[in-house]
Amino acid sequence: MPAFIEAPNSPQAEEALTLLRVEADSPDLYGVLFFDWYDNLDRLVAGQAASGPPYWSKNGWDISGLPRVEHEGIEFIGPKLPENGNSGWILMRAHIRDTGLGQNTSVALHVRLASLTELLASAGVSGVIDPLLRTPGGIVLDATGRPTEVTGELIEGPSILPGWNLVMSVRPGTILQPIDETRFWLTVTAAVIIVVILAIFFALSRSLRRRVDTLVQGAHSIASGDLYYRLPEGRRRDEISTVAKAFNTMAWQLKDLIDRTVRAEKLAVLGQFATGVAHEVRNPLATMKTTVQALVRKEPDGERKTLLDDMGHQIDRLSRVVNDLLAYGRPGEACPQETEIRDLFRQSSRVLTPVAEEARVRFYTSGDSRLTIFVDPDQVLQILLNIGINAIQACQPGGTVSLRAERHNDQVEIRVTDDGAGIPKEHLLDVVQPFFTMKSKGTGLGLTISQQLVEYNNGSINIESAPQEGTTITLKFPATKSGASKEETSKNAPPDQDSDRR
Amino acid sequence: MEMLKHPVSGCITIIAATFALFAANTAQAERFELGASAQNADAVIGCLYPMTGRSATYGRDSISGIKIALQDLEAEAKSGLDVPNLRVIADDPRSKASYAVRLAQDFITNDNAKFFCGIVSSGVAHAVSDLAKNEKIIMVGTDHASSRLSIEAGHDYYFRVTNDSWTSMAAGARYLRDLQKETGWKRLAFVGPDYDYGHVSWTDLQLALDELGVEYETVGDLWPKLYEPDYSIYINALQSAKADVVVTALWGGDFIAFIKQAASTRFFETTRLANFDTGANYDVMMALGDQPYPGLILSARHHNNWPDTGRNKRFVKQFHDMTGRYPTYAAEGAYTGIIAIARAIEKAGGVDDDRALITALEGLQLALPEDPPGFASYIDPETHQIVQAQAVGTVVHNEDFPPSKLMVGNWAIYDAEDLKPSKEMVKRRRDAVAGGSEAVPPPTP
Repeated sequence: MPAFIEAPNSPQAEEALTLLRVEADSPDLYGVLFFDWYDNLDRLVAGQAASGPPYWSKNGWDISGLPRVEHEGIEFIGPKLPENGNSGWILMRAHIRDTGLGQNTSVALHVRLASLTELLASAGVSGVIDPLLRTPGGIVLDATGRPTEVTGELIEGPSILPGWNLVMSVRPGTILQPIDETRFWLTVTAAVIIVVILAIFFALSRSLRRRVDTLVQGAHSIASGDLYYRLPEGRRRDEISTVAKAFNTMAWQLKDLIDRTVRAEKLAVLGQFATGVAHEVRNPLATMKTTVQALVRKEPDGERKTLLDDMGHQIDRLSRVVNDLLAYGRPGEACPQETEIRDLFRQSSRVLTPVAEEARVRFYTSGDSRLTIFVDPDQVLQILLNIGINAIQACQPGGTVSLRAERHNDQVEIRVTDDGAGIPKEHLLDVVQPFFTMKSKGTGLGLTISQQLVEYNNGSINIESAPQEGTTITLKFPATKSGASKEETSKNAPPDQDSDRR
Repeated sequence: MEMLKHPVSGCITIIAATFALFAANTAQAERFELGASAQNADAVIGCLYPMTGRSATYGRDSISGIKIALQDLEAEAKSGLDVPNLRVIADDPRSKASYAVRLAQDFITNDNAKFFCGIVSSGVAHAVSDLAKNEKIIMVGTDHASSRLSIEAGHDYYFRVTNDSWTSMAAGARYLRDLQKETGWKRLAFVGPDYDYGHVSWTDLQLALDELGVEYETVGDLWPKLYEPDYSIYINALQSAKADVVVTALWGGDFIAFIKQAASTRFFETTRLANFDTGANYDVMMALGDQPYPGLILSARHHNNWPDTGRNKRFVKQFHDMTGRYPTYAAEGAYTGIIAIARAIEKAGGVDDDRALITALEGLQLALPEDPPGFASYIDPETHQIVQAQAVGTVVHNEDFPPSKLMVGNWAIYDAEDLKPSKEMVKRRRDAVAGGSEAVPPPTP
């Protein structure tokens, strides 16, 4: 070492320089510096971390104003704080013994300041307790070696060198802050949840109320007699929709019940009335008929005879009306028995074919000849005749009326089809009402009586019609078990089944 | 007792002796000898590359780059061209200036080296550059990047053939200028390794930003030491500073460690992190995995996916064929160094005349893998620094270079001439210093 100082170009100095380079190569050191007696920088050995003054430039190198403390013979100079893009440092300097040549020199390790302060990091609690280093100048350094402003409470720590001591910056708020923040956000979240729940509640309540109001309005409408009122069922499958569907079903059933009740009462009243009227009218009519017939026989005047014949016809017509009224008011009890469709169709044909021929209407029957139904044959025959005559009368010449029987599960379906004038849609429900007729000479009791008889025989009646296209009346009666379901058309129908009759 | 009386000098002696013994035992084990034999060589090149520690990848890839250069030269020789017969010796200075100087002296003494090449750390390079100057050995720097080596501390025997910190920061300043127009960033912080390269990079960036007239506020400059394992206090400090943009000069394993540690915080949610000199290196891309952290702005001295030229593709393929992996930028730097020396020898007509070799290197033009179409790198006679273009970009998904799943893309390209320091800048910087070389008494303040 003395050779390095005193004889720079000697081999010993070169060897010392090599050793000093090795020492200076630590990342924690910038270099090794040599000073003369007057603190002037005499020589330096740069380490690989060297940068800035005094290695790059004479500018910015001055140790005269730096704090100095001494500990166990070592002088600590600094800190020199980081500035202008240069790092902070301290010098650890030792005086070299007088070599005898009168030179008093010193050697210093140029130590990276941050290497000292970085050691603080491990002593802290992140964000709560920051260990800091107070330097002799009173400046407080953080873990990166930079001066820091202390805002929180400071707890004095141990001294590491004279004038250098650790201080702990304690920020209890840092512990409480997350809790406070969490509490704040929990409160906000709870408030938001309550608001959202209330909003949902009010929205649901309003929606529910609106829909319940609809139900209430529907109930009021029904109560006030509007049996055709129906609630909108919507596409949803919630309770309200279920109630709406049930409400509508109830409305249908209620209307049906009321209709039936009204009709039943109407029938009862009409029946009594008709029976009374018929009794009172029939006997005088019989007398009048007999009298007219007698007068006709003795009347020589042809014109008067014609008038008397007309009177006789009118009396016949009155008799039919009276008979119908009696039939309506005093229907006979049904006596169901196994009845073959072929018999019914044969008897019907026998009556209807001449009527059809007179009206120049084509009439035929078709279907399974072996079908049997469990009905009162006389009443069903009367039904078929009533409906058949209506059908023929509805047709223009050249029209067609057909009877067709088919089996559907436990029922036999008899369809009476014509291609006549049809029934306007608005009258479809009226045609079964008593005394409603679309014919000039009708009594308006035929279909009413037919419907009554169908119900007595556990059947049902359905009317489908379109104006100018025709009408199909479908009768359904319970089938008997022995009935087969073999389909036969008019082409291969057995001889006893009439077809294509006119 | 002697030690108790003189603790500093005593410690120095003991530590130095230990390190010297350690260096003597291990240096030989890391030595590579490539190219011609000692008897047949026209010139011997002594290279220094790290083979251990965080920067070992750079040394390993540099050796491969040298092998590719020697292969190319051999192919030229076989085709009848008159190329010099080179012998390359490489050794590991263990990132220590002291070892590096000792090894470099051994190259001269034992191997008759005519050139020095390599060196990753600028701190180590300074020491070797001083030796080259004193011993009159031409040094071709291939990796270290402190612009101080070529501007303030430049000398006749020192050349560098990869982008230096000035070039990278000049490109970065232009990128930041354009970014400011887009995002309006204002608060800038810098974090760099606490040695020559880090501090020079920060100076270069400030000068380049000032030259461009970019207005910004510096909210902190932080200096963790080289090979720092824990950056948490620095990351906390950067977050507290609320920087919009953090520029870093951390490199290699240090930069990767910084990114990994920053990613475990909310750093990338609020801050852009730019590394204009080394950040886009392939080892960084691999280390990112499949996480393209938002706000990363990166560049490097060579990219495997830029420029898209046949020369670059060929170099990358040669490297991949040789090693089975893709190169870091160190490979192309080392390749360039050997090619530059070979071309200089060809131009000078031999290795006997130092002045002729220096003249040959000054202005030497080289078509290199990292040159974009229509441009060839050249060595600036004024600073002995190679003049090259630079591309800066952001991280994108790209699995063309497995195992990396990310590469840099969205390139912003900056022309070489724009990135060259002006003569006025060079003069100003050189005039502002007065020496500083080790063992030379500095002027008294």
